[in-house]
Amino acid sequence: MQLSQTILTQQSAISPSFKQYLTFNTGGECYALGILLVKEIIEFGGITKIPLMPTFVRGVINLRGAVVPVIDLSARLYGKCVDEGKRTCIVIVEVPNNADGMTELGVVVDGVNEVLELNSAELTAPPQFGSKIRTDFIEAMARLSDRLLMILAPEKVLSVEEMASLVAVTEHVNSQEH
Amino acid sequence: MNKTILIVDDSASIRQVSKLVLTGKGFEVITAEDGQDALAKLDGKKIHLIISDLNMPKMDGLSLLRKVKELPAYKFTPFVMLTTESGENFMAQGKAAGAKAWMVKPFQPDNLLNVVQKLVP
Amino acid sequence: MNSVKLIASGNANSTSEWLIITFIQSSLRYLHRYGVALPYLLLGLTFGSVLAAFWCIWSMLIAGVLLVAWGLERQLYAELQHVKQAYLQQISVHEHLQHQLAQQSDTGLAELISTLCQQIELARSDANNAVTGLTADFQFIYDALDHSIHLANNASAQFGQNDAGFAKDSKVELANVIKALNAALASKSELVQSVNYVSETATELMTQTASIQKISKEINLLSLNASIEAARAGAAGRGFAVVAERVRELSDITADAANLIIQRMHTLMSAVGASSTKLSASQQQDQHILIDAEQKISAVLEQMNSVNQQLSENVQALEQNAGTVQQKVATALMQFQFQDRVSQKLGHTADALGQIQQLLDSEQPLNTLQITAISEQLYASYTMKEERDSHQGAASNTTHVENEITFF
Repeated sequence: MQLSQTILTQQSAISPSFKQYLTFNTGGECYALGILLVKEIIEFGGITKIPLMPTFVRGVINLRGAVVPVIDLSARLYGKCVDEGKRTCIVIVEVPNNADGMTELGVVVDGVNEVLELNSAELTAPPQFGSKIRTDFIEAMARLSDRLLMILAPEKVLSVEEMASLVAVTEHVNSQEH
Repeated sequence: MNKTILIVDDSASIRQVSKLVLTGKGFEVITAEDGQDALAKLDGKKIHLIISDLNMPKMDGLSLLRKVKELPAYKFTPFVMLTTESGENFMAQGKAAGAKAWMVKPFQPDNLLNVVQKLVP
Repeated sequence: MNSVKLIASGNANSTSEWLIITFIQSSLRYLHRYGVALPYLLLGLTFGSVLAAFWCIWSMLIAGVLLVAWGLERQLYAELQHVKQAYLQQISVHEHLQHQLAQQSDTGLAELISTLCQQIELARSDANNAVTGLTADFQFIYDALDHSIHLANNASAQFGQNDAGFAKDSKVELANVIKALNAALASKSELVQSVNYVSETATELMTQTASIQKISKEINLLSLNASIEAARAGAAGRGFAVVAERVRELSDITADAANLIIQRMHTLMSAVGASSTKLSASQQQDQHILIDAEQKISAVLEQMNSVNQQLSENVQALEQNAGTVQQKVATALMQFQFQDRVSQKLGHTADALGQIQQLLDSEQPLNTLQITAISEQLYASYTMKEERDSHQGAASNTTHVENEITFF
């Protein structure tokens, strides 16, 4: 957390208005995430499914020896799993967890586009209503030449606590059923 | 060269029938109605055989035979009598006059051919 | 009667005188001979006087008889004349009757015989003409049959020649045609092959292009990752970020190019595939058509062959038939020789009738001699054994077995 914060401040020191985002598609919509969160992008595949997990949890993968959980962004946003396409890939992100550390998380997206540098002036506030996903998921909106970009709020979308609680609920439900 | 045969008979059917039989076997056939006609038709042609009826108007067969034997050109031409007459008297006369054969009418074509082939040189 | 006639004619005296004279003569002779005459002379004289007396009585008797006889004779003479008259009358009547009869029967019979002669002549000429005509017709038929046989011969020869040749030729031609078609099909098949080759190559290219795509995608990812690392490296990574970005762009371009290639490939493949399918189908069709054509042509040839065969057989049969018919015609023609015989027989009969007619025309009474003469003449005029046999009443044998040839 500290490191990333340092990086962030360093970055904003160099170019206070520009920020780099990784743009990607999910569910036909364009989203972006701050690039600092993104560790790498890997191809889709090798996911070991874990049964009795909520829909958005696709499973885990083995990333150079480390076990990384993989979630489905489309399921997280809309509740519907993404169909595997040609460009489907897993974005490995690093998010802070409740233990003040960083958790690696894999996010399945429909396709990764590019790395964009956006001016903070170009960003607008997210709409209060009318979007398909939870409003608190969207941090900001960027208007590009041909499309609208929704910049996701990582702390909400990729909130570990929320996800963990969701997992627990699911486990509870499942155990109750059996 | 085909051999020529002279047929003398006052009956048209006999002339016609003989002609048919002989031309069918490749002979040239000249016909005459009676003795006088026959002499006229001889006229220096090369004849290989004469077949004649006996009873004819103007000149009968025996007279013709005798006349023919007087002609140097036809002296050695074989002469056959073809007639309804089968009396020995007539046959003797014919033989005496120099006929080579005596055939009785009606004739079978095979018999006629037999005679012709035997006598035509 | 004769002696009475003699006496009547005036030679009566001489009888007695003669007696006397004879007596005297004989006595004289006797006297002469034997010289003993006188007694006898006297005897004679006595006898003579007795005789004279006798004579007188006798003469008177005779005269009387003569008178009676004369009277009788005159009567008889008259009767005789009467009889003679009657006889002459009868003869004349008889002659007259005969004459009449002869005349009557002469007119009827002569005419009849004349008619008969005419009819015979008519029949003869009728038969002659008919037979001449018939013989000519038969000759015509014979010649026509000959012609037919010749034609059949020619046709048969041609068939014989052509048939085998034709079958062979047609088979060879058919084989050639099939070969040509096959060659055409072969070149088509080459085309199909090359199309298939193109298709295969295209597929390979597609695979390779797919791998290019994959690589470019990886490069994309890699470049993204590089961008991320560059971003995370901060200012130091800026240069690298540019490079990474450029790499990403290039990989995008590559990906696009690859996509384009793949698109084009797909179009090409589909086109090729379509034409390949069509060609295949067409090829199969061609094969079918070829087999079908071969079968059909073969069948047609078979048919033609069999038709030829049939025709050939028919022609042969025709030939045979015509030959048989011709033989029959020739045999029939031989039968026409009857005309000659009939004509001769009729001629003989006509001649005899003519002679009878002449006799009748002469208006003399017919007698057996004349008739016999005519009959004998008729017999002599015969030229055929059967005529003679028939004349003599033997059963006429009309089946002529006489095919005799005699060589001298």
